[in-house]
Amino acid sequence: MLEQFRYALREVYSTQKKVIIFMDFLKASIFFLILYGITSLFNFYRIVALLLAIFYFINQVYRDLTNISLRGIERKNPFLDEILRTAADTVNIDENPIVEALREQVLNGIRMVKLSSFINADKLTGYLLILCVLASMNIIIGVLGLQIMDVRAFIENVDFDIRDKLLGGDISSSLLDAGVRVEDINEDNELYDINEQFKRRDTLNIEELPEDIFKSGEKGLDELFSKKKRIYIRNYFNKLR
Amino acid sequence: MVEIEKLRVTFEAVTKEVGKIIVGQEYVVEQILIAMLCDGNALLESVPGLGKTLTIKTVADVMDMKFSRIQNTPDLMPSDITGTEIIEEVKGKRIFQFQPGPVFANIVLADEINRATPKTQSALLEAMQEKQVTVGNKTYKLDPPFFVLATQNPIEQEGTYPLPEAQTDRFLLKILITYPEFKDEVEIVDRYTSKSQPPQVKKILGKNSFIALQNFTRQVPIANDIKERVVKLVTKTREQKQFIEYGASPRASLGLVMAAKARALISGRKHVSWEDIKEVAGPVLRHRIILNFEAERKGMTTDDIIKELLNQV
Repeated sequence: MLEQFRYALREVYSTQKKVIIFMDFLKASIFFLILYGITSLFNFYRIVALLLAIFYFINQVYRDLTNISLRGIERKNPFLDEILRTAADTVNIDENPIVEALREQVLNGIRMVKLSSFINADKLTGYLLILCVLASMNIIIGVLGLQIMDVRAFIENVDFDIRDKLLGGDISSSLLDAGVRVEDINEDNELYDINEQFKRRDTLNIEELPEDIFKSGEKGLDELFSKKKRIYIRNYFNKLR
Repeated sequence: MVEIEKLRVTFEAVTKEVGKIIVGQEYVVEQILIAMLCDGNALLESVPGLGKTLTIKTVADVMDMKFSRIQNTPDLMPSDITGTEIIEEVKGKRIFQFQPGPVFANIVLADEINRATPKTQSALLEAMQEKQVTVGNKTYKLDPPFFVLATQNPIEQEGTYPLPEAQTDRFLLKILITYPEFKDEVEIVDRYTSKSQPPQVKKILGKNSFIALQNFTRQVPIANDIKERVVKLVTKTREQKQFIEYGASPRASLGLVMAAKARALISGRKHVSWEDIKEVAGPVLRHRIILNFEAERKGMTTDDIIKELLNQV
């Protein structure tokens, strides 16, 4: 009897856990679709929506599984009201004739419990409906390319402004501000040579500089420097011109 | 396996048998049975003429147990309750022999307990709590089961001594007897004015059966969440300072759970329900809560406070 009861109780808990995980997955999916819609409308990084939804799912599952209760099943099966909880709480009591009689009553009752007792049909329907609506909305946003604001472009523009501002000043400080060490650049022979040219620019007439310097194409620079360095150098040269 | 349903039938038979004498006091009979199943004591309170003494006497008659009655008066001495040592002549020698008092019974009816002096009332304390009596330097164990079922009159009168808090706490339940319903009162008049002999009752439960039932009572399981709610309820009586001067002690928590278990058994259930707790909360807590002046000013009773606290937990 005790083993039978323990098995039945394990089954009840296991089914309940599965249902909790499934419902939490639906909730997390709703949460993800809402965030996805928002990130789409604002052209923000979509990965943020996914990461937040995963965090929400883990948190919900942990919270619900630690507060697992048999009240929901009792509510849907009044013949188990209070007795299921009592029997579950006294599962470790042996040699108690009243508890044994209670277990028998619970076992008989559990046989009549339907799987639907574990699922809140109204909640499930609601979640599925919300999921459908949100999924449709996301598709519409994607197809029509709806956008309220381009946050990504805004962030990138902010970067450009800073770069221009930095380039407006002295090259050494600009490079330092941008995290590029001048010493490192100077280790490069070609750049060192170029810097030497710049050092003498005040003493030289700019028109007298060899035409080749200004004709240095992107292709040549590509081979010598990283993209970051290249942009600074090109802009600087353009400015000098 | 215990057939709880059969136990319910037994208790119904007891109530029915008591009902031959007592009209419409099923609730009071149930409360007395609860106290007895919990191996506790009960204090019955009502205005005169509502059948407190008769109810207890009838319940005792239905049980096949030794019954004694102590009619409390201001001149009652503790030795009148516990017993005393008297000189007896045995084989030509005079020796002191202990003569047991009325407390040496299974069911003791302490009638109008608040008429006895505090000294005499306290003589009952040891018997009620420890189930033993000390006379001189000797301690005598009382035969189980042992219950004190006391009655008192709430109307303030001269020559009464209100029970001290320590003593009221030793009563598991304080049962209030209210006026009977109109049709019940008509039945009482009819029953006791037309027949010369009162109806006879059968003895249903013996000493050993009752001890077995007391053991079953302890075995009735209770869900953890109900247990926690009980403790919360009792704790709230200590925390609620708006109307309560002194709240209930942990003994009240024990009493509530035990009384609820007994009620479940009487109802033929194999578990304690929250309904049981709600039903016994009044009798268990009402004499363990002391209201403050604010509550008295507003005309509130302990039962009102208990109902309010029950809604909060």
